[in-house]
Amino acid sequence: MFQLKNELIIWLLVILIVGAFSTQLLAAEKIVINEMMFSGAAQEVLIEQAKRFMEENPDIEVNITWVDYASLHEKMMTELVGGTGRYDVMAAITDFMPEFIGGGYLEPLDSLIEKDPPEGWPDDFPDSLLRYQKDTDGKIYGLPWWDGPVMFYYRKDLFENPQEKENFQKEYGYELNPPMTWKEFLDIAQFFTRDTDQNGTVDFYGAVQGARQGGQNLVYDVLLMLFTNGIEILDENFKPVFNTEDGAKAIQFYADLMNKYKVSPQASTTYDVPESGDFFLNGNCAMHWNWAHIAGFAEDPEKSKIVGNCGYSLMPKGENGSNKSLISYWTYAIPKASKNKEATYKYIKFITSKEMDKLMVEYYGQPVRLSTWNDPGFVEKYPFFPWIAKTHEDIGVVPQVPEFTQINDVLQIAASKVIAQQTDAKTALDEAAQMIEQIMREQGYYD
Amino acid sequence: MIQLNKHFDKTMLVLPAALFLILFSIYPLIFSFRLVFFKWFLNKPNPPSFIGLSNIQNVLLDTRFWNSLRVTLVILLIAVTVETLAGLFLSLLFRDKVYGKRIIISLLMIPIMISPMVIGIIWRFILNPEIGIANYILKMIGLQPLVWLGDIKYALSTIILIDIWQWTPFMFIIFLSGMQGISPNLYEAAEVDGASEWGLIRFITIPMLKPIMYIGILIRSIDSFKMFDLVYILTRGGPVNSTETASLYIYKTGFNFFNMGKASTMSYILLIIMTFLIQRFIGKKEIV
Amino acid sequence: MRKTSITLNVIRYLVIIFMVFLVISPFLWIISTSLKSRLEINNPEPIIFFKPSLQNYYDAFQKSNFGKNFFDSITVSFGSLLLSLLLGVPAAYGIGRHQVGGKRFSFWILSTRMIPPVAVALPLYILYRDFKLLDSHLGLIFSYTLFNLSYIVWMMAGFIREIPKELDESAMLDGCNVWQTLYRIILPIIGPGLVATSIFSLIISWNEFLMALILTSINVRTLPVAIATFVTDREILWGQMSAAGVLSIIPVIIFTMIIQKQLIRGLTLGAIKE
Repeated sequence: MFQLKNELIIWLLVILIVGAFSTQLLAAEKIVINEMMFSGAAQEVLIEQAKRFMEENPDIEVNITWVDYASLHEKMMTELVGGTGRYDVMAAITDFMPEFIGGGYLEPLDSLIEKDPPEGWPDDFPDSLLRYQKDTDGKIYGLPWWDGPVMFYYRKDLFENPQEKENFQKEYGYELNPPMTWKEFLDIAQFFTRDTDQNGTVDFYGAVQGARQGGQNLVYDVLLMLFTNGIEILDENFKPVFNTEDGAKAIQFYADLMNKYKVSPQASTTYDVPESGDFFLNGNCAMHWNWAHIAGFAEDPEKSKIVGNCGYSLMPKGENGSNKSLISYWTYAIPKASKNKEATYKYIKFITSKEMDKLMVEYYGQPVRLSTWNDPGFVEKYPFFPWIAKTHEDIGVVPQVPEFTQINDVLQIAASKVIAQQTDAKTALDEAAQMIEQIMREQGYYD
Repeated sequence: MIQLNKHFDKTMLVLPAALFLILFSIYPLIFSFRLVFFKWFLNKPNPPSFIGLSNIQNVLLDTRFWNSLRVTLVILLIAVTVETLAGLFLSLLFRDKVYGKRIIISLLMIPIMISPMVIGIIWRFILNPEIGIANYILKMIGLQPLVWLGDIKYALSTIILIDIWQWTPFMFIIFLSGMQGISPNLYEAAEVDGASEWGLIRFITIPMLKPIMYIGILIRSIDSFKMFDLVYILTRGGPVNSTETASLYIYKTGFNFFNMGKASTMSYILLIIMTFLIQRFIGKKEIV
Repeated sequence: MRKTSITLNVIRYLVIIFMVFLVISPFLWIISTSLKSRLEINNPEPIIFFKPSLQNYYDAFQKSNFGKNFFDSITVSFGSLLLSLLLGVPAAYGIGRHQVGGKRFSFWILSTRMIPPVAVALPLYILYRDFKLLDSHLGLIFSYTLFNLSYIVWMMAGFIREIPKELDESAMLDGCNVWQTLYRIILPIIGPGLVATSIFSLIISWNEFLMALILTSINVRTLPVAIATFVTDREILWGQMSAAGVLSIIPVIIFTMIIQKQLIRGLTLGAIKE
């Protein structure tokens, strides 16, 4: 009995080992492009795009490996550093582009683009989507594919409700409109935070935040609070400049929304992009800011309880700031170690074409081309499109340095401390600035 | 002649295992050890550069590192203690015949068998402040809903609770199997001498369970020291690093910040501390 | 037989049932979640009564290649178990019975279990890259064996020590060498113990995440890594993730029920202490 099991397993192993190596042997027939992509909103549209590419190019096979978003960065870096050439194309987010480019892991695409430029290159792409995948020499390393400015959302039905408008006018002395400043935001948020079923607990909030430490969103919120108050993270000499009085006030305000004014649920500290989005889509709050996918999700009856009631606006601004938003977009880059660069370029050129960009829209995706945004048919069907273009007019990015991951971590911890009411905002920011300066100094930025 | 042969034979018994371990553990250990004295950022093109004891100094002065050790030890001490006691209690309930024993035990073993990934999903959902059932139950019995994993006051306790939930069955199984090894004759003899129920437990069951209890505690402690999966999925170390275990911090340093020198240094210090503590625990006990 | 009062018995059973309920209720919840639609899941008040649907299971199968993930997990787990047993049982015999290497060696083997996986991940990655073991079943098998070997050696050595020395001495006198003694005499006796230890070993490999994430990519993909992909950047697909979770649990549960008897018996080898 024991022996039989042993034998079976040995045979199984043999078959497996042979099987594991057979893929190498069989692959010689077609050119196989291996892609690493994160699972999520972009999954379905990419599968469709890849399918169409393979239909047009039967001699090339595209093989996509899905990785969970949280582990994506680690996995990508390990592969790039390992230089295995296992993957021919990677979905590289602009947050990490400086890291990838700086490490010398990516193939510059300039010569490939010159030989065979993508449709409408470069004018069909807004400048803000071409800037951040270049290195200091201006060489370009990725084709933009999936956009995502942070947009501001609000419950159109509530804001247009005559009774609400009347009450608001009476109480605050001005008309109820999507807030242009943080002061207005607070007023509106307080107005809408209510206990609608009179059972003693608040069940409708003014807003919700994605303030989970260790998630992806908290750092973006920190940046947004600073940006809208006219504050940058690093200056041209890579020195931290965010720990000013205004900066402290901005972060304190963010934390106060939850703790002092209670217009955002306490549970926000466990919410990341998915949960805070869901909170809004389930109809539990009046206002929200999040990536652009919410606009699409809001109209999908399977995902939202507020279909038809979602309005769009710009980020509110601080006293000394502007309605500036944040962008972080996805490009397709080719690792230097790839063995199929020509075929891969063909692939990424295809999926970033005008037609494929329009296809994105059908899947509630986030297109990147001006021609798509301004397409009259779309503008009618998807009223938020003009807002994407508007949002792009005043937009910022995360600090474009390879040390971003560490800066991210430091900023998140600082914000968390303020939210947990462990320290005040100024102390937390000063501490953070000190740590960031140390990090940059260690990397030789100030020599 | 025969003596020599026998000796060689015996060594052959352990040789394959030893070789395997040498190859797969010594190499990584030496590799990491070298890195302790070098500065090497994986995401930069610069090759490793020698910096002597800088890494060690950096780590020993890093309050975040010591915090992560504190978190690790707190989880270990509380969780393992409770698991041992609860496991013991549970196993004592099974001292007499229990109907449906087989099914009950199978069910109780489920948490141990499941991937931490799945455990994480389950609990993240249950503890979701809005749509999770935990807060719903709290509200039903008139208590305030909690932000379990997001509140700095409760996050660590929540993690410990989940660990206890997952691993008490393990200690239970350990004790259960230990109890099977106790001869009924011992009990009968003691009963004849007039021992009470509690007396039986106190003077026969528990002492005889000691050896296997130590094994259970040892295994759990070693695993708890390395705790990573649960916090990675549920809190990523937050809020404000209150649930950041040593392994998690090492992971972040190595795979997020790509500071390989520092990560290796921390790994080594962790290993040394662990070895020291384990050795003290094993001491004279006959389990190794 | 000892007599216990009825009340005590009732209390006993109640406590046991309560404990069992505590332990398995999260799983009941996840099973019910896997049968709900997205809006039902997101409802602020948990819905107890609903119309179950298998949509999540269909979606889970469509989105990830579940058959392959199962296959990979099984291959890697059983493969490493096999290797660990082949290497570990003889070593356990050598240490347990013949004290090869003494206490030092025995402790060294235990210490390999103490290594935090995170510390070995990168060196192993580089080692595997140079030896073309990346993204291969063999690669993961070796890694898992590394962590399981010490456990197997250690547990089995304990069992072997329990076996009366006379047994192998008489075998040796009959002319058997150590290997034959091991095979013919020792192995049959420690059978149940072997099963017990193997199961725990198997479980650890089955559920391992970090190594699988770092060391594999395209050709090999185990269940934990696949399940993680349901936590996406924009939404957590609770329904599908629950379905995937349930699917990965079922084989384990069935397996447990089957081998449960051996498990308990094996952990003490039924050695009765007088």
